[in-house]
Amino acid sequence: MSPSKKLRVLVHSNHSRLVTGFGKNAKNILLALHEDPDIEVIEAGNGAKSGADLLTPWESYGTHPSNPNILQQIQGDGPKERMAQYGFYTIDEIVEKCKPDVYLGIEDIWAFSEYEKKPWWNNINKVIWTTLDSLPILDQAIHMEPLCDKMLVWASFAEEDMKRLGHKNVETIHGAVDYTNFYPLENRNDIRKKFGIDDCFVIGFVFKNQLRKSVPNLLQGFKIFKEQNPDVKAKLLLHTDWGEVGQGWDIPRYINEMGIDPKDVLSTYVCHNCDFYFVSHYQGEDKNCPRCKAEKTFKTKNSNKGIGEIELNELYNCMDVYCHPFTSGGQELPIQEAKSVGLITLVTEYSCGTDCCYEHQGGIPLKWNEYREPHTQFIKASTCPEDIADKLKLVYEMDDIERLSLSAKSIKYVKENYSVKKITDKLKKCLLGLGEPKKQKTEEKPDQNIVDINDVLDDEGAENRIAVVMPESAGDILILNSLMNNLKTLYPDKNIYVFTKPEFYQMIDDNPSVHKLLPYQPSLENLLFLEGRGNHKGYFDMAFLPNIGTQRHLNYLHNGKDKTQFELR
Amino acid sequence: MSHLAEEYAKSCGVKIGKPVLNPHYFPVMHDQYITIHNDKKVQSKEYDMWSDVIEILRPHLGGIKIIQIGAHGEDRIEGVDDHLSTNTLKQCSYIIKNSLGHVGIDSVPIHIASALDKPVVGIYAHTYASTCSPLWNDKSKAITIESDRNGNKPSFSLQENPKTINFIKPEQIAQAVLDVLGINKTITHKTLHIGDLYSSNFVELIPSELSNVTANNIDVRMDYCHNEKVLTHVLQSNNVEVTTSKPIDLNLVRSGKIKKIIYKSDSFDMDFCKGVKESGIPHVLICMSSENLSKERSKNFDYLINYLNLQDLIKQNKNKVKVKDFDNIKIKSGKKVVCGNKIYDSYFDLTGRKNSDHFFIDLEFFRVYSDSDE
Repeated sequence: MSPSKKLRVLVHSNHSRLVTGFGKNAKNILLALHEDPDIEVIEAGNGAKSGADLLTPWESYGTHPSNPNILQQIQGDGPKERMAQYGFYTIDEIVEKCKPDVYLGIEDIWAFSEYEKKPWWNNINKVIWTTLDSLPILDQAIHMEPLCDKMLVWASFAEEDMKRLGHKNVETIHGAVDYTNFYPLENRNDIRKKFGIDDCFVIGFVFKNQLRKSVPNLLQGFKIFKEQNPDVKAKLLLHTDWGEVGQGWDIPRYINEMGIDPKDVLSTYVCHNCDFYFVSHYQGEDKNCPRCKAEKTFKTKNSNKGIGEIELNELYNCMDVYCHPFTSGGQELPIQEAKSVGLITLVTEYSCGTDCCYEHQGGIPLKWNEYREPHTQFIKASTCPEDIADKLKLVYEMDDIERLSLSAKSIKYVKENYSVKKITDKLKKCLLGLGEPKKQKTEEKPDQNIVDINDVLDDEGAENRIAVVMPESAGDILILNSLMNNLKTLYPDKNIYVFTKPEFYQMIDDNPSVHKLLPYQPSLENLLFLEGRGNHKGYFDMAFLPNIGTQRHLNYLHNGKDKTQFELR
Repeated sequence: MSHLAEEYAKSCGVKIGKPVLNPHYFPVMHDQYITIHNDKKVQSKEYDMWSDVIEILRPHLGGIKIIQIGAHGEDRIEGVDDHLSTNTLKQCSYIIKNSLGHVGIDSVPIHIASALDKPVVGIYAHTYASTCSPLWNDKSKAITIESDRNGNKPSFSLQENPKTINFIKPEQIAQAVLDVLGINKTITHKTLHIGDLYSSNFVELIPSELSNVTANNIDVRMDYCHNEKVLTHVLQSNNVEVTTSKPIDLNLVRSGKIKKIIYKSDSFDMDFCKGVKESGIPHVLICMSSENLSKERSKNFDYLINYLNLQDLIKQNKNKVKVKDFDNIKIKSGKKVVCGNKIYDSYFDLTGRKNSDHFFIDLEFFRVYSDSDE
């Protein structure tokens, strides 16, 4: 790099406006590096649509495909849809367009699956900055480490274990935390009063409702604490998405099961219309907003709608202690936010917890028992409820000097280890210190599908049946109608079954050449299923799927210029 | 030509015949009529200027009525004589069967009309017309009009922005209807430009004097004239959008009567922005200064700051339509401009067509045309 030329760094992560751990980190480092005289940043934002103007101060591109052809190919294909969310199908074009010196990928490690096969991979420097949360280290990370110029991890336990395995090209750089919005408020008592919790011992937990957040353990620990300390007016504040039961914990159910008073567990409601928020015990979702009166807009926070950082800071200030039990985690930004507010943080002593649970870090470690995650076999932590209760008591009984001392350590530790400045300095040093791009070689991947229809067919036998499958729409079925008499003339001894959606029957049910109309199902688009193969006899002598080359795959357009040498009309 | 029917025929190994279709009775109170069809199921197929087509066509149709057909849910087209929503396509077929002809978007009524050997005009944009044009009636009885899509190929997309179907000029459709019906008349109406926002339907209010206007979609242009007294008055009887270049009283913002705020400025008053954000009102920030843009975006990253350069816009729009003499052109606008109790088609008209910049700033809201008949 010549001294006058800025290093062009393509930062590929969650879009900087997404309120996710990766999104917040991207925002923080992009804002800082954008001002840097030596670096020019370009953003490739996952979660933003390709072609959209992202209105960022820097050059930026959304990575979710908008090209209809790509969208059609990935639709309904889980793995491909997931890769699309990570920008797999658009990143090549972005790299080609902005010609970066360095590709900086900041995502879960599986987001970079098969990146080493990308046409640009060998031509530029690539740095993967990823979160690893469990031991043993994921195979994808082990695979990727020698393929990139530098691997950065968010938590030091991952660096240590990779180095133990002989992978030396690894360094810990935590996700950058902008703590400017997180600090102790002088009016915290007023805020607590507003929510009616000024005389309570408030234990807080800020999290996305996922199974890896140990909610049952915390509720159990809270229950034990309450039973052991009946005079303490304790409240547990769970700032999370209470309504997203499908993805995470059914919290009200556990509260009920454990016999905890529902009024002792608090939630945060936010209005999706006017942003008003309030803390109260959980009363269900879709309430009417008490401020703007909008109907069914008052809900606990979810992935679409949260509260802003100013309000989140108020929420942390309502807490007396922060407790973050988990099975494992990549960094867990709320822990650093809580520390910035000066809260003593109780964190499971495993995974990234080891970066923030000790006394010099303003924390207190929570004991845990090991279990193996079914299927993946990763080591996971089940935090001990009794220890949660003991540590809560420890904090509750702390004198002011002890408490202030730990609180000060919390604030200092975050500033020194997670601040945007510290992190971007480290990152910049890493980026500017990269040598020649590493060059590597590559390899390849597979697919799946079946159903039954015998019940609805007559007993003429498979050899006397013809199937014509066309799911939709009205115009196409009318066109199909115009072929049926000729088809019957050609095969006078066979019964013609037409499969389409019932709402389109009326476009063909007057045609006497059609023996039977039956409802369409996707499984009917498999010719071998209909006609048979091997020891599967099939159901029809012949099946015609005119929708395959027209509706399913556009194989007939040819710019409207193709000809046929035979007469079709 | 790869018509879908040919693909289906090739796939089944047979020639294309005629469909068998028996219409079901549906009461129609008119004798001489044509049918018209538009619907919202596929955004890229929906044409937004049928009312213009009817306005141009009407004087040439004599006593022939225009009946809109559909299946419930579609908007009534302004200017039709009747709107008949049927429960089945067979009832729809009956209405078409008894008509003089059919005009509409690429949809099943086109094929029904063709199967029933009715004169038909179909309009196409997001796909090649040749792949789905009317199939069964005599060639002289079918006209297909395909958008030029500004020289692009079809998008084959269900959603387009801008919609290329709207590139078809209304007079072209009107003329095709006359031709297919055998009415020997020539339409002289000539569209010179169709703006992307021509289909919007709202009122811009210039708050220089008190106005008693009431409408569903009003944008109070405080950026043209910052007058909070008039705004207060308007808010008494309307919920409005406000476009402003400087902060307005936060009590007005909190009145619950402002639906949206568009804040256009070189740099932004963040106390005002914060107040707007806290009020929960949707808002758009537009930076008018290219020098300040990056700085404003960095400073206020949590706000989405758009950019607008009026001079660039004017320059760009001047290339879209060449106007030699503004007296010879007519404007139909997607928005009405109200000042006091007077209504104008544009701010350009309001200012007496003196400053052509106003014309070009609002060009995307206009259909600009000439008509030598008038």
